[in-house]
Amino acid sequence: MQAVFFWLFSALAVGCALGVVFKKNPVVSAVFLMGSMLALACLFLLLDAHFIAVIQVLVYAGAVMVLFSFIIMILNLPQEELPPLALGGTRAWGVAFGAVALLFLAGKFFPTKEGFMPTSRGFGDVRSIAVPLFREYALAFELTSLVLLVGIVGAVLLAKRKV
Amino acid sequence: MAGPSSYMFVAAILFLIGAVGVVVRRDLIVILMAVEIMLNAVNLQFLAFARQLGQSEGQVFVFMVMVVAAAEAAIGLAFVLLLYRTRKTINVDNINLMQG
Repeated sequence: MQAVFFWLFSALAVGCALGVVFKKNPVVSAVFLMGSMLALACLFLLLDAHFIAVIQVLVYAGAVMVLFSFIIMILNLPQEELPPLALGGTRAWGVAFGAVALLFLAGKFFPTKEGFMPTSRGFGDVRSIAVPLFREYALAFELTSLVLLVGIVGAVLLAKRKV
Repeated sequence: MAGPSSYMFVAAILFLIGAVGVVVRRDLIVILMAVEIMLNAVNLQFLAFARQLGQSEGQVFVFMVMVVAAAEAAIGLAFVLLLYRTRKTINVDNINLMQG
């Protein structure tokens, strides 16, 4: 049962990611990106990372995607001003690079039958993340707040600058 | 059963799609989206190993990656806005001021 859901949501995530890259209109790309994020959140649930799955939906499918669609709406590019996907040569080289790298990686990480080891009770819930986050990684956690503050102030400063 | 190798396979495919997107696309907004796909592929990998090793530290790292990704998206999109106001384009081929 888990394997069925795994392959279903993996196919959804990969298909939507392909849609992001190969659709010309950025609005369509943004909607595909949201689909990919939601499918990944389901994969996170299958990995027993319940808290991270919720955060994924809130932060990515919520905040980041709203930011993307906001910018697309503010710019409001007319259809003919959208950049082309790529010049023929660049596109062919990019796809060829991807295919070669995929063959290489498929040789290394081909899916095997082996499953996961059983986990202890309470793995992936809020407590099991909060304890290391506020003990060993307390400094890193405080620094993330600084990163976000710089992000907010920097974004406002950049976007409001008179040019 | 879907084990760690299956998750690594899917994460590798997603990362490659993101990398190809950065190379292939000319639209700065979509390039940022492709970067988000790559970050998500890394998150999936982290969570798969956290599950395999039964340790929550991997999930803590995913949390950190998400924070940095959110900040990166905000700053990157502010740049896109500023760039569009000054140069009237978001095509990376036309942004060649620093090209030697």
